[in-house]
Amino acid sequence: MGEHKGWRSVRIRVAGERVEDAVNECIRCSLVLADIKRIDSRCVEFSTTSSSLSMLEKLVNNVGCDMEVASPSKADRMKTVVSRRVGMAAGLGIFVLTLFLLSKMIWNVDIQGASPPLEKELEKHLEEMGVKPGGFQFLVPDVDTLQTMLMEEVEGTTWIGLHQHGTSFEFEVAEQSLPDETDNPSPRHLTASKTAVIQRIFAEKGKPVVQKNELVHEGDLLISGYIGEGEETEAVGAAGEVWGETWYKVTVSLPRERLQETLTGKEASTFRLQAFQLNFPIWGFQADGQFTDHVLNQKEYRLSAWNRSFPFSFHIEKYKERRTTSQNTKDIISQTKKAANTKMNHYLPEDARIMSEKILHEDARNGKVKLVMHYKVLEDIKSETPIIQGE
Amino acid sequence: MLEQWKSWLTRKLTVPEDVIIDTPRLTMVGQHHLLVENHHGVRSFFEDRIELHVLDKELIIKGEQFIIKKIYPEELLIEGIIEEIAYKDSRKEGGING
Repeated sequence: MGEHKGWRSVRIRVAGERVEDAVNECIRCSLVLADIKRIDSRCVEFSTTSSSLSMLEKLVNNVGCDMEVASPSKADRMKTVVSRRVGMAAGLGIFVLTLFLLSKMIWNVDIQGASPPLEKELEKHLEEMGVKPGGFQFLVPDVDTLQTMLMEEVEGTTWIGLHQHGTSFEFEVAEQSLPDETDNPSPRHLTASKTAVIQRIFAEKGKPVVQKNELVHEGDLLISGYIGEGEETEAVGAAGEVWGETWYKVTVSLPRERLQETLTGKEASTFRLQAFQLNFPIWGFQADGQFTDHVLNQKEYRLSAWNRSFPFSFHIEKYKERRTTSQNTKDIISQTKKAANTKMNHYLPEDARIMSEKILHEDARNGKVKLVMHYKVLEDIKSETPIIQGE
Repeated sequence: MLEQWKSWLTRKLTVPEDVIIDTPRLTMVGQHHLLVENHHGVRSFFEDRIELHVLDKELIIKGEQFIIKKIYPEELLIEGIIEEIAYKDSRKEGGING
């Protein structure tokens, strides 16, 4: 009967000559007392809420009695326990955090199948991206992005495979092996690969049979592999350069009204810890309301051990501001032209050069702009045709 | 004068006395619980005897193992083994409190 239920209820012992007066004073000031029990002739014990303690003390002293706390409230007891165990709790928290961080570190980077110089270069690139022992996984782009970035940046590889095994990254490199240029090509002619007007012809080996400004069609002989006259005719591997002017017609159509989404570069991040179903924001509380339009990039890091994941995870949400603009009609022509140019450049080999371009036809209909472009291109038109010996 | 008028009114209107005047109202549940409403303070409180101020009299409760379970400005709940409840005129005896 003495043990009280209230969370904040505190047991008080009052001693003095007139303890009844103290009780009367209390009820006069509307303090609620409960479980008043006589201990002896000078002493009573009762429960009250801990928030009224200061007022109670004043009242009790006024009637000339002494007061002491017989047993503090559960809340107070909790507080002392917690404050005594705060180091323990902090240690536990730091331990879990350390474990989490260590498990999210990169411990090992293993490159297989690369020659030493390539391995060095790859390592250098990886280090720039933060993939090195001691780096953190969440500061590194994800596996797919990393793979494409590496393949773009590191030359001399056909393929780079990337596996992540827990805390170690394993790279598998397939090196490009280019066939050696043969110094002595087998006997061959050089012929035209497409219809063109010859602009420049230079025979390194063999005999040129066409001249500048001559029109050639596909398959026409340009540099003959036969040298010498009559009996002394010999077949060699013709080599040289033949540049011709070719023509292309490119048709491109773009919608007139085009919504273009661009990222402005402003971004805000939210960090939060999720435990069970509860979210604990850590940093960046107003990130989601900061921009009127945004692209959300979410990442989740979860601690896992032996195929079981812990019920808490660390979330990083990146909000990037997005601006949607509609393309106006004025520069749609130039946009379309640019698109045609890009299309052309993709199609042409690298050493080819566009000599001139001309708009053949321009048509805006049904909300679309259609553009027909004509290109004059200077390109290498030679192709090899082997000479079959013993003909 | 006011008291007389009040008691006359309660009689005429047949309203329970404790509603209008500060007459104590005692509710006893078995032998163990006693609820006293309209008390005017505790005069003395011991394990076997509780004296309360009520109106112009004193209410004396005798028994064993008394605990005041709850006390509010106008209401109090006593728990224990109640043996005897009695009224005593404090003015007739001269009153300890004066």
